Amino acid sequence: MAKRLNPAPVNVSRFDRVRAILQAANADSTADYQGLNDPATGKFWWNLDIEDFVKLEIAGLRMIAPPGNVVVLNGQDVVIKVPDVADYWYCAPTPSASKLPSCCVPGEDPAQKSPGRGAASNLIKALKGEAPFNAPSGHLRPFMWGGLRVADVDIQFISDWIDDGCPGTDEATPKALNNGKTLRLSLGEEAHAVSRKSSNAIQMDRNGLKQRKDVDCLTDDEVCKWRYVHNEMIQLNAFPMDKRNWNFWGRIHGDECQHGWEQFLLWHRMFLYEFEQRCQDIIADVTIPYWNWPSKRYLQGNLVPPKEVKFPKSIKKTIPVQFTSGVVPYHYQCFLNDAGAKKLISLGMASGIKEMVGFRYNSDAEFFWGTEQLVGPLSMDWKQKIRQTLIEINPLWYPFRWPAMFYDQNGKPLGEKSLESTFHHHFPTQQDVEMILKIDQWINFGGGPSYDMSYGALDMNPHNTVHIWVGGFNPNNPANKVVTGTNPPVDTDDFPYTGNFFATEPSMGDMLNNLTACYDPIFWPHHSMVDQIFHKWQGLHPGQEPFEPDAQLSGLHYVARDAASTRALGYEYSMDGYYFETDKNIGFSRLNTEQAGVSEHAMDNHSRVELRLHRVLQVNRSYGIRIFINQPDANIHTPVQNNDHFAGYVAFFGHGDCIGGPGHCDPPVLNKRLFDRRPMHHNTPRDFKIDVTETVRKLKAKGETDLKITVVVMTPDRNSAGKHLQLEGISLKFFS
Amino acid sequence: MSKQNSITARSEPKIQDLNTRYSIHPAIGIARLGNSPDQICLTPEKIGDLPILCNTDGSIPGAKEQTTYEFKDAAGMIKRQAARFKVFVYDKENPNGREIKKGDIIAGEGTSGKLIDIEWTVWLANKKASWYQFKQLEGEHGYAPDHPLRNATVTEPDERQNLIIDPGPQTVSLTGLQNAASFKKGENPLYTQNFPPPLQPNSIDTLGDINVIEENGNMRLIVRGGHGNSGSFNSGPQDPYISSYANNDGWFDDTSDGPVTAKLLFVDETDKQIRYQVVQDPAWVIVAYPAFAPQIVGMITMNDVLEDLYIRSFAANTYLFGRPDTFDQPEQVTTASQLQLWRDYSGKAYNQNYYPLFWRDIWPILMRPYNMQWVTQILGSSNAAHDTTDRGDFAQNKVSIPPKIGPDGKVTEDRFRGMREFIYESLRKPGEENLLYNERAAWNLPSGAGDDGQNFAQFARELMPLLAGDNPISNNLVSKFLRLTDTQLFLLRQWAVGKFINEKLEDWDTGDASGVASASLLNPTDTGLSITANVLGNVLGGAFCPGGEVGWIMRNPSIWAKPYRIRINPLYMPNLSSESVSDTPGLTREFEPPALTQSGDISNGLQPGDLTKYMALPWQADFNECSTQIIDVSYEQWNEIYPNPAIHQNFDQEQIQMETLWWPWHRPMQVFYQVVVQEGTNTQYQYHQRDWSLGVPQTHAGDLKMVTAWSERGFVVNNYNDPDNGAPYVVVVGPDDPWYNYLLGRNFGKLNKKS
Repeated sequence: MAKRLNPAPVNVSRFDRVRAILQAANADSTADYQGLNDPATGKFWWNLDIEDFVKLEIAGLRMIAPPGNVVVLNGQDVVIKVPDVADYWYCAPTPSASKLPSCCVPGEDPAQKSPGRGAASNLIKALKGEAPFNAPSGHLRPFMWGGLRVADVDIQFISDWIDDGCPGTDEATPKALNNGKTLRLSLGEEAHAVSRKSSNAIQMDRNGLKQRKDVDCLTDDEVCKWRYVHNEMIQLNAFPMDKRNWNFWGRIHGDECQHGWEQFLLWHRMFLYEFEQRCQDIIADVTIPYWNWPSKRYLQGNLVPPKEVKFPKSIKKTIPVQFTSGVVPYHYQCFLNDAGAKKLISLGMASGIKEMVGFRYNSDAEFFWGTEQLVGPLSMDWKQKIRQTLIEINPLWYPFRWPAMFYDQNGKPLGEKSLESTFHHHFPTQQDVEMILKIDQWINFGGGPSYDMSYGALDMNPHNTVHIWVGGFNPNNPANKVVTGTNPPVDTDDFPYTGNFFATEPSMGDMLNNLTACYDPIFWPHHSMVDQIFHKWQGLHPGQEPFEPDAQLSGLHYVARDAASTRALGYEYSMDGYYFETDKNIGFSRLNTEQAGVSEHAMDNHSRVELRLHRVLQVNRSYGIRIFINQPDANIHTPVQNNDHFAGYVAFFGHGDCIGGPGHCDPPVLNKRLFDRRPMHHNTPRDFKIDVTETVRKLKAKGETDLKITVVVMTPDRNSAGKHLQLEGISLKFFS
Repeated sequence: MSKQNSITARSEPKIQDLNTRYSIHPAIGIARLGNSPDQICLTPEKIGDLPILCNTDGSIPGAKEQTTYEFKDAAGMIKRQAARFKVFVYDKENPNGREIKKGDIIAGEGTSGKLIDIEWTVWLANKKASWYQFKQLEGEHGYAPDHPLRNATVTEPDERQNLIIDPGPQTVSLTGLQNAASFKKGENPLYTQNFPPPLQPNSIDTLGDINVIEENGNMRLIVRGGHGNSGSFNSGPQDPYISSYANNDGWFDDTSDGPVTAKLLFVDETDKQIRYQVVQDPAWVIVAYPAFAPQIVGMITMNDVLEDLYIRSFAANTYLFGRPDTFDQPEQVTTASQLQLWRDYSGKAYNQNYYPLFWRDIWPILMRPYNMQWVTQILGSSNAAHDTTDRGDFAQNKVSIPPKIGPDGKVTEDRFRGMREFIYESLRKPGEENLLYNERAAWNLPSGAGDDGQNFAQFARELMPLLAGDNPISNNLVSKFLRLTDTQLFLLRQWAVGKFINEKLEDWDTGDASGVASASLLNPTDTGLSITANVLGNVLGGAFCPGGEVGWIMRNPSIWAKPYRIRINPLYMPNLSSESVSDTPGLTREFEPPALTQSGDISNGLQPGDLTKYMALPWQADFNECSTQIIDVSYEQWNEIYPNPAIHQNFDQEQIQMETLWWPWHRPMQVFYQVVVQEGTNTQYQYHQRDWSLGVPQTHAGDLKMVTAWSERGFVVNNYNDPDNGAPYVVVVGPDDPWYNYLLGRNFGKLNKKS
């Protein structure tokens, strides 16, 4: 018998009300929910603190689904999985950080809304009696065990509460919260907050292209997911024949990689595409980030190396010269956290290693050196254990990577002179990239065909150079004549990540050689950067195509022409992006956003900024849009001449009065049916893209560091505002 | 429905609810032999239960169905147990099924109307003498070309046809030509029957009979089997003679099996014509030996075997076993192509998050071994093995307690994990069928495994169950010891690691949580399915050498159209194709089946007699010898050692043999009899354990004795009247046995309770 709770008492939080609903339905049940309840002492699981409540498991089933993004595919709600990462150490990118990234603490932030999360939660399924809580097929009983069934309206209340992020405290009902908000939003009196969803999840909502971002612009959430997919594949290395594992990609690359001719860029584009698809099998909204080598921090770290690497203060010894160069992306560095230190100490490591917690290093050579100062010489066995632990903490880091470590014949480290004196190259600069982009012939840029094989410029210099630079030579290998320890290298036939593979000291880093390069996770952002330049070059030099478009790409089931466009493969490059979601059911006459929170990296390193209006609804009336940046009070009377804040204008060509019957001009559903091959509906919402680079440049010159957007809508007579603009969101995209 | 003129008041024909389905339950019915000429009882429809008391036509006397201890008639002859079949409807209103009743509106094809009758067709046959010899597991995956036939000296094909006992099909209904019919010689004038010649010691002139009854509007079919007659047509001086436990040329018995089909007769609302609706799920009936210890549930039942098969090969519970990525939203595998895709997916696995229910899924397995001591003395001699009382290693009040978890999902208290792991670790796992001893090195039981500090690990030496397997005899396809099914092992594994739910602790309404399985693992709420599951819960589920009622053929996925439904060869079924279902009776095509054939392609479906033909001939021979078995465990892959004479002695010395049991719950070994002890003036009633079949040795001579002696054996029943006497199960022999009357509540005073 479903029981409807009495109307909500005032001044009670929604969580309290959820508890009251569950308590009332429990009635006089004696169910102990595997020890979570003890009616005799008044212990009930719904009285747990919100932090425990959202992580609760009953019969092995997590009651509240982890927050995720729900998209509608073919009419079905599909939850895009966000990794349930509470158990993974790498959720704490900086061990000292007091606040974990949002994905690690579900429900902590009330603003994190996930539509569909309630429906996907086992608690709701249990209350509704859906599988697996429908006795016959799923076999568990519906809630409340031994008590009453909860009324549908109350279940909906709980489900909505979960959708809204399981807020632990709030005083008002959701309706009251929205009181007047819609109106204020539609008039631009209230600003839209920047979305916390990943840009790719938002793009997936709209069937839009995914973005490959600059690795230094990833949000905590994005790094978290990226590490998660690495860890998933590395775990599968325990099954050598499973092509979903990490080593599979390493072998494919080692065996099939094309370079030194025109298939270099094409083969790698498709190779990255396949790998990215594999990653998206695990988490649908990840993409391969790119490592923008000429960014300031790498140039500063490599062309003009800083003379210090941070070690614990108690280490007084002079830091070896080879540790003063070779900066790899922040997220690809190794670091020890508290949990890792605890694990090593539990294995018998001296507790002095705790001092290493929190410092970041480009290679294990640095880490080992620091650790040896604290705990004495490390045996090979300990090195392996430390390497394994560092991988567990950050699967993006890789042990056989000694960036910029090169030595002369006597084993003397070359330090900052590595590149010049060893390879006569220098670390790639923005100028190098610009020069390559200026090349206007395919054969010079991308390489020659099979009957005239030659290297393309991109292949030769920045690509090869960075490979070699990242790989480096192992300072602990005796052949490099710099070995300080007593541990000889061990021969092994194991694949990476298995057996005692990391108990060896190979002479060279894996990125240094083609056969081993792809075992190192940094291979992917490196090649993503190569592909980014290729993508950009294609835009600058239309019509330049490979000589043999129908040639097979070795080891991949594609031909050269399949690699023609990144867009056709579902992605584009954008170093960073900021989204403001808008309610498409609201007609705006003016629209304001809050500060985007643009990162310093994006402000400093972009070459172009684009403002996008997403999925603008086709309406009958023609109207105009003016866009202002950092001028939130702009209106239809705000001047556009001599106004540095004016960023652009869009004239919207109205569709005219509808000539059809009811529904003729209704906007179509975004996701067509699987086999619906008819052309696009005439009122399909489209995107507008407005280049605002110049405006941003002017504002930046004025010293502004962040951006907010104002959209002003006007009728064609330009004298009145009209609520014509309906859209799903606005974004600012930054490009390298 | 109001009575109106059929022409002026033609109602709109109802469109059939396409999801309406009619099914016969039980899907596999069991009838049991008895030498009583006319007295019967009904096969239990609950697992581990007594038969149901009934009149000679199978109807229930009085208002309420009740079970009975009266296994024998007044003359001391064993009553036949009849299989009772019912038709269930599954539709929107009855998703869990309901037995149909006269007057129900039947959803025909494009029309509907009131149910007036059910027309049942049954065809029993016995093909044992015409089939291949039983040679342990040879043939389970197809017979070798040179596999010997039974009665191989009969070579002429037409003559071999005479080795089939085929009385032909019979159709009965309440309102049709006949409401009762017999599978007796000479009682099927439209069909050319085949019966064996006169036999010694007992001839066979019938395989049984059927009739329909109406009870409170329910129309049911009653199927009786044979009388337990077996005999040989050989007439040498030494005949009748038995030379093998499974294959004896010249012999016949009157066990049988065959399809049970039904059509519903209803009055079409539109034109008042009588029309047919086919019952889409037909059934099968198997006739076998009596169940002498019906309340003692076997270690592995046929239902366990079949559930395991359906779960792993028919996607019958995709939440329990299937594609791991679908456990959140279990797949609906309904069409043949979906099933093919499901089968082809190689990554299927058990759901590691499946929480078995203790009283429904676990206890029914755990309680079984303890009860074996009432039918064999082996267990009584060991120290409290399988004891379910407080002191035992299977203590119910301990092994039923799941771990307690904290808010983080981690276990905070698990007092009896050691006991659970001990039991699970002791079980024989896949691949260990030929091992006697537990050789798994990974024993890592916590010391003080039990809450009270007992460490059971020291006792666990032999793998369990310690029962004979499918082939402990020959060196071909060796399978020495029995093991639980994969599904049973999985459920117990979940239980062992603490992933289970105790329904009582969770305040679930569990109904009868006596520990006897009463629900199907495939769909616990399906009322019809539960009858099927329960009926099969009383059928032997192993070892199959050749087994009890029916053997390893049941494990073959290709004989099943879907779970529990045998694929019937359409030639031997009255027209159940949809083209005829709306035809008017009398105008339908005649049912003109061809004669049964000696061989048959399983993929075409089974013919009458195609299940029992794999079993021993006569059944009494194997039944007698399936008592104990010496199993040679010297070498894992060999049962028979062929010692080279030169090293004969060494072989003898190194040979290790183990005597173990087959299936004492079906073929009792030692049972408790009540004896009167006089101490001075004090008369005491005590229980002594002794041989159930005293005087019938486990030899071929004994087999011959069992051909007739089976009907004189007693039945082992729950001694609920005298619970504290140390023998919860006692044997009763017949009406002149005072204990028999005592159990029936007669002459209560005559038998003084123990002083």
